Amino acid sequence: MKNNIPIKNSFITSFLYIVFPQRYVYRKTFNEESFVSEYISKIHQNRNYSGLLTGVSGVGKSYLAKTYTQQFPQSELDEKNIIPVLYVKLGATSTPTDLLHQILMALGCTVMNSKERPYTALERLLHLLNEQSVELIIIDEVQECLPDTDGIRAQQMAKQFAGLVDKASIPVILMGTPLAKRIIELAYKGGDKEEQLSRRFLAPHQLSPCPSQCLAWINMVNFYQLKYGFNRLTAQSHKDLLNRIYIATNGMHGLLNKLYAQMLPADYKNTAQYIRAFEEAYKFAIRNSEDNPFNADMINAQQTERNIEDLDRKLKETFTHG
Amino acid sequence: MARLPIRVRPFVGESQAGYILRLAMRNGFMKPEDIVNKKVFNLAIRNNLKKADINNISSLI
Repeated sequence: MKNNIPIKNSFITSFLYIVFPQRYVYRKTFNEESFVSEYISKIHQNRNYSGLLTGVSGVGKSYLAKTYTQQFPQSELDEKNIIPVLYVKLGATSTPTDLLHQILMALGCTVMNSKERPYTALERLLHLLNEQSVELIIIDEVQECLPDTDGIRAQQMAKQFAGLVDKASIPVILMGTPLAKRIIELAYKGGDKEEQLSRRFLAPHQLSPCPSQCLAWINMVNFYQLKYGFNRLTAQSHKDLLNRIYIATNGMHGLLNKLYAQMLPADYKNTAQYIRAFEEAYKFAIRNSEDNPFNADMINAQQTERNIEDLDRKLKETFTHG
Repeated sequence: MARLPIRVRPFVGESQAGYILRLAMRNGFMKPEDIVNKKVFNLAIRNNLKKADINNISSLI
């Protein structure tokens, strides 16, 4: 186990965080501290408890997981690869063995027997986790292993996760849509009494869309500005543009990345040029409709402000009402 | 293509069956038949693997 795991990583802190309503939405400030990266780092360092991060699709969960994983690169030895942080993206998972096989595949093992029993697959997985010096497992899209109802299959999955966490002594971070919360709340028969996966987990956290008109939002946009070769935007000079980008993407990483991916590479000199380019990009990336937020003829700066206020109110409501 | 994450090499003078056993165990399998079929392992016991079988086993690592 490395002792020098960084608590914060500037790359992540520049644009990712967990929104605590009382800290961010109402005050609309951002203190540069990334609660998400700290949450993951603490779990990685302490190794006592596992964690659950949820968020709607496109909010940036997978990107966060991949970014964190990249901080601990794999090293290739003659005999094996050392994988300090193992990232697993679950596909459709129908049985506990299937779940274990997907983790085994992430370790580089593609020799599988579909008739393998869960306990032999688990033993094999534990052996390889040890061989490959895995310190943390991040399992993304964990809702994929949950059926629609909390029946026997859901319980089997929860029990399989519990077996993995208990036997491997390696923390696991589960990531998924808000539906994934079900997995740690499920009660199942463990030993003589009813158990829950939640006793092995820290309190779950939810990743929320970034609020508008705050430093976090500017950091987030500038991350993509730089990624796609454009200059930084500032609140003073590009307020209207930042608002329009917010309306187009709802503060979601997924949509922001999609929008920027359609931007034509050019040296945009002013807001008007940016807005024209974004208008075209929006048509291709997000929606080809008349209510394009970059259509400056249809939607002026005042209307944009009003739309932003509406979106902020809705975001506050989601925090207030869960 | 089937791959194993622990890439052990044969020792000088190691029997074919011994190598397959070691390869399977190091990769967490309980028995050699989990990585090669029984017929191939029986040939390995007699140190009589065909070239194609050797290539197949080599491609696992």
